[in-house]
Amino acid sequence: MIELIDLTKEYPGSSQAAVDKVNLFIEKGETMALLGPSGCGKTSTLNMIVGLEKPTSGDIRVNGQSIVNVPVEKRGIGLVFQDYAVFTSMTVRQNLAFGLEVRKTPKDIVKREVERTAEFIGLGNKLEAKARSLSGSELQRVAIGRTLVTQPSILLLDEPLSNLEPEARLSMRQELRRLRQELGLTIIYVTHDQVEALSLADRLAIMNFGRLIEVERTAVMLERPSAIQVAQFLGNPPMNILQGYYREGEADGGGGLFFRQGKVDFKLPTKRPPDEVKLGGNQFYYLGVRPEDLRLTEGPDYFVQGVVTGLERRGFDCVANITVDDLEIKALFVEPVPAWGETVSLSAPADKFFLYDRRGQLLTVGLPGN
Amino acid sequence: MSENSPNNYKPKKQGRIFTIPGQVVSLVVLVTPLLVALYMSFTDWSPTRSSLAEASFMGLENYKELLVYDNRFLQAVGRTALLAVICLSLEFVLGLGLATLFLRTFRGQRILFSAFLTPMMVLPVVVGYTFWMLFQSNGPVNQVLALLGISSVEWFRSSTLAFIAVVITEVWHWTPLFFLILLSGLNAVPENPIRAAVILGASPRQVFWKVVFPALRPVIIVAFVIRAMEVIKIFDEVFLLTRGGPGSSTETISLYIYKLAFNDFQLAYGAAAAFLVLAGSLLMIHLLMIPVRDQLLDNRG
Repeated sequence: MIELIDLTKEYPGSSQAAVDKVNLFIEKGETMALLGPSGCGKTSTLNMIVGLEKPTSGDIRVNGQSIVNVPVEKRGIGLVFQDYAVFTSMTVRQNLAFGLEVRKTPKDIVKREVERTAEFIGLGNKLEAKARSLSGSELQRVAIGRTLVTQPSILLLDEPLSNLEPEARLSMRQELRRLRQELGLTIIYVTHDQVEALSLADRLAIMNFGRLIEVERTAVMLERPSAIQVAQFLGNPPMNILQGYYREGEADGGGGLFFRQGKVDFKLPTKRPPDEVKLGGNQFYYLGVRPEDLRLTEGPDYFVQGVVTGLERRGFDCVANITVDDLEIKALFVEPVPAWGETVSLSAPADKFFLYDRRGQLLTVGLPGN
Repeated sequence: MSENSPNNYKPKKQGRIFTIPGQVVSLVVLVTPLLVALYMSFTDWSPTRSSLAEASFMGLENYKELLVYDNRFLQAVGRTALLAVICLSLEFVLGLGLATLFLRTFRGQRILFSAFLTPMMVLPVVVGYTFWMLFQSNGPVNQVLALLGISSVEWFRSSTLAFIAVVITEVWHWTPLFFLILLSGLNAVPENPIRAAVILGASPRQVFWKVVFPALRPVIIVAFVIRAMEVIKIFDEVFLLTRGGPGSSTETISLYIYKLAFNDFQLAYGAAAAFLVLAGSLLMIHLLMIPVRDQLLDNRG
């Protein structure tokens, strides 16, 4: 169990705190992903937990005890670096033994532990290999094994998969899951890759500009991103966010509810606004809809009509840029894919809209039915 | 690697024509003198007696004389080796210490950095002359020692003190090279393995010997090789400080060969000595490089 209490890190000469009053509680045995763009403070947070950097203020507690003044090697926290930081001049065996040998552990115990760990990480037959001859995923295993030998209670992983080739990522993800199950370790890992975060973590903590934006169970976060920054970050491509106001329309003469951004009216698939929403030009809201929820439609009841101005095929699906006046929204198509320059009508089911207030807090998901 | 990459480029036959001038120059300027000197070393030629063509061929006689009977030569070799070991050790320790200090930033770092590199840029002749002056009987060094209560030291009258003076001069002159090479080496040591070692519980000493030193080893060896080659050739400082004296007690190889050639006009004998030194240095540098050669050449990837 690990607690971050108002954890803050300021670097001299920088006006903005790298980590700004972060409060986070991580259960024993839980896997927590710190997700955020580069420079959002996640690595600084990790470094403070492990003890490579000292917090400017705030506290870090493990099982209720503050560890801020505990020296790095006595914290019982392991860190695996993004570039693995394996000792390249040593063999696998020497790498794994390092953490024990520097603590003057008896030779027979070192040998036993090293061989057990090597077996566990699947490098039992490569103990005598020079580290510099290993592949990326083998180096990753050595880096993890080298930490596990010292039996940490908490394992920190900094971008554990981003330096691996795609196939190795898949198997490494399985490996990390097995590790968590078999050892019951508390794992905190930092990543900017949401696929990585979503596929491994029990809970996600989203950070930006040094602040913690949201902490939530992975599934819930996908279903109900409670802050607009989270919605803008999750998904590939992320959610379309419109900013404007709701108005009851006579735009097509038939009434109905519209969302207006700039000069464009988006027709919503309902006649009445949700209870949380006030109509009119001075009531400002955000409206979100995911690219994958937009689909091609025929007939008059479309959400928006626009011209296809960009297509990016990504294997099985295709991301399309749809330009409406001076706005651009993204839609994800599997088949059929419209042609470039074609005018298309798009619609989305009423329950797939996300409504945020002007401060970016989620009001509700889904529009009321007719 | 693609067909057209520069590493795979094969010169066409016509292309080789253009290398002829360069080859002729290097043949005339480099190879011929070397071969003439090599031939000379097998003769008894002396410019005061006859031309090289008339000199009689003596086979390995000069070499035998040098290696078996010429104690002065063997002592010069031993003395140069001792000088190399002492100077290089001191320069390495001092250079590494200074380089380590410069890893963290402090006030005046830039100025000190330039100041520390200056000795290296001074001409050896000037260094030799300056230190000769400093070590005079009533020179600045002795005046400072007098303040400490040590009465005037005759630096150039005692073989030990003269040797120490040479060592001090050489260390002052060339520590900056070690400093520069080791500093760039230390800066190139990746940071994360060091942090990883710290997290795993290594003490600063263990971090240095187990993580930093292995990464630094090729750089250290390169620094040693460069400096070893220089020390073997050391001439200017010794010539200006002691002229090899008192007696021949600070005579290095270069100084001895110089005396053979220009005092005694034994050019053939001197050439033989020079070739022996060349062979010895080649062997030594080859042996030094063996442990790090793979590490240095592997990274071309």
